[in-house]
Amino acid sequence: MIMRKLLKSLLVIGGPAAGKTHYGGQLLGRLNKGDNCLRMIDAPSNISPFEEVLKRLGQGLTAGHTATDIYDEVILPIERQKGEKVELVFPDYGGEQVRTMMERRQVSIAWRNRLRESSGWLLFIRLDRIRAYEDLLSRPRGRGAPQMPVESPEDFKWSDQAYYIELLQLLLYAKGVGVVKRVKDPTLCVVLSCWDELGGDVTHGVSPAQLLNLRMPLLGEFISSIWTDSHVTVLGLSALGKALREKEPDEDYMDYGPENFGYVILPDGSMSKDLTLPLALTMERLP
Amino acid sequence: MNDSNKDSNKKCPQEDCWAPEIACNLGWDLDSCPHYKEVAAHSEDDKNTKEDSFLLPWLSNSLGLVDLQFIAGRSKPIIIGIIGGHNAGKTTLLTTIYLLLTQGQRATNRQFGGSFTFGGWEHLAHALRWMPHQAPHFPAHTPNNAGRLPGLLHLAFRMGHEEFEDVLLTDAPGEWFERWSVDKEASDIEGARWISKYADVFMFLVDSEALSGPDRGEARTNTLNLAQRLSSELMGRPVAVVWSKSDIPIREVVQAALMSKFSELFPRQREFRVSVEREQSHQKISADEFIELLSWILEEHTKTTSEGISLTVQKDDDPLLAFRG
Repeated sequence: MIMRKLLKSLLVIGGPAAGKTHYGGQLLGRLNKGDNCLRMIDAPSNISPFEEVLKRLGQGLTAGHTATDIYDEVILPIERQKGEKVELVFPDYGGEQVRTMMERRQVSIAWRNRLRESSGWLLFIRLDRIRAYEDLLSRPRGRGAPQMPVESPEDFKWSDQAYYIELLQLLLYAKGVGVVKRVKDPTLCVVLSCWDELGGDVTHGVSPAQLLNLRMPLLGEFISSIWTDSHVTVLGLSALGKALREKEPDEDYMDYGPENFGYVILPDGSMSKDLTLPLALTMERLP
Repeated sequence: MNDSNKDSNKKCPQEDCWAPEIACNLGWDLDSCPHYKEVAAHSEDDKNTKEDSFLLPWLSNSLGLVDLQFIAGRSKPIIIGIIGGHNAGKTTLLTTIYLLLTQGQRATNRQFGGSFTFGGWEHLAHALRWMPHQAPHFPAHTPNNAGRLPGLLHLAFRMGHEEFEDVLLTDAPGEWFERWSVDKEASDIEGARWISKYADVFMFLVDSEALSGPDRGEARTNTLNLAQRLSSELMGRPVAVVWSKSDIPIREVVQAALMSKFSELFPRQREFRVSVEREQSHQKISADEFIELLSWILEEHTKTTSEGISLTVQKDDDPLLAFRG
């Protein structure tokens, strides 16, 4: 307990189905193996959700949806090879609390405390799930075109860009960080998850930051204007390396094991199989 | 500007506090607030607020005057007054600017730095998007008397490396300005007077469609009346004259006469021509004129000294409790 107070913490943040679950499972496997940048120190109090994921992946199956009512948060104490230690916190394992905060405009005291104690955030975004709509500017109607029926108000949804910017504003406010001066604390790592699902024609020849700016230009600009350059990283992540199914086992996964799959796309566009790098690179930039 | 319309929703007895809709104006936890706790015992809203949670001080909808204390705590916001008659295209202009920003367009020398009214912006933008089973349609008429609208829409920008500015754009119904142009003391247009008094810079919308139609004579008179009213209240502030729906041609003689009058009435003015429609659907809309307009507006205000907005300050035992910057 005393050690926890001394450790800096990194929070893994993202809505439901943002890819945190599979990353957590794969990360646990890599940390336990200990041959990457980082390793686990001490025994975490509860890693059962990630162990279940690892078990499913070992069977060549996707982990499915996280049961959010069972697990609240998962904490992994980890260490870099140079000896620096942090705790990696999944404060909202299922991603539902983030959604609730946004909808109810309320932040729980537990979240606020977690945010205030944190030094770095890993924000998970699935670009392949971003909704992109044409509008009157990109696709004019032609004056005098007949009016089509309008959707009911229930169909209204925020654009994903607005959602993520609002989420970051909310988190910064709850942590007590002003933005008039550029932010250094917390360090931000944007993790573009499920990179493989974007397809090679989309990801070929572009860095993760370039792809973020192409797909979500307002979010990219917001991050760039709010954080100091040296305290932001944008990475691509494919925690599984390829898409798995819920019921049909993947032969390669069963033969080679999940530890041989998954990769990270670094800021320069190069690829690494070390799935601990998102944490290691964030640790390098901690305030 | 719309505060009188919100009284039916008001819970806290303090004049400028809208808890539990947003956070307490004095910074109290609602459980501890001496003004709110009696109300809380009978309030359904309060039962929805978990004891172990705190409320955010912004709702993300367009802002009313009481909400400005939150923003004014970190900077003096720049207020852009958008003036124009009914159906002149004020809301469509606002929405277009937002959509262009979401597509990565930038005002000169400025990076987008956030917004406290994303809900308001997204509601407007939704109308101009092609969605499944929905073609774009023009945003609903800005209401004169309902809910939290009309109000102020917020954008923040980073200028250069460090400087940070908050910008508020007014989204008010044309009826206000039509009344204001003939009677500036009319009882029900407090919002129009507020805009004319506190805006740092104006966008004055000229409706090309009205000026080219069968009622163009009336439209011409109304436009001139409004221009004259604005001119009399201007006190040196800059005006962007925005010819909206500019794909619709106006007779040369009408246009020339108005342009000449605008030059006379607005000493610091520049004209812009914007439209979000084309004769044919394959003709692309250019972002350039909209972005030039936004850039000019944001640059011009820096040369202007307007009256600082007046905010009610709540006094309590510790005045610092009111600060949430």
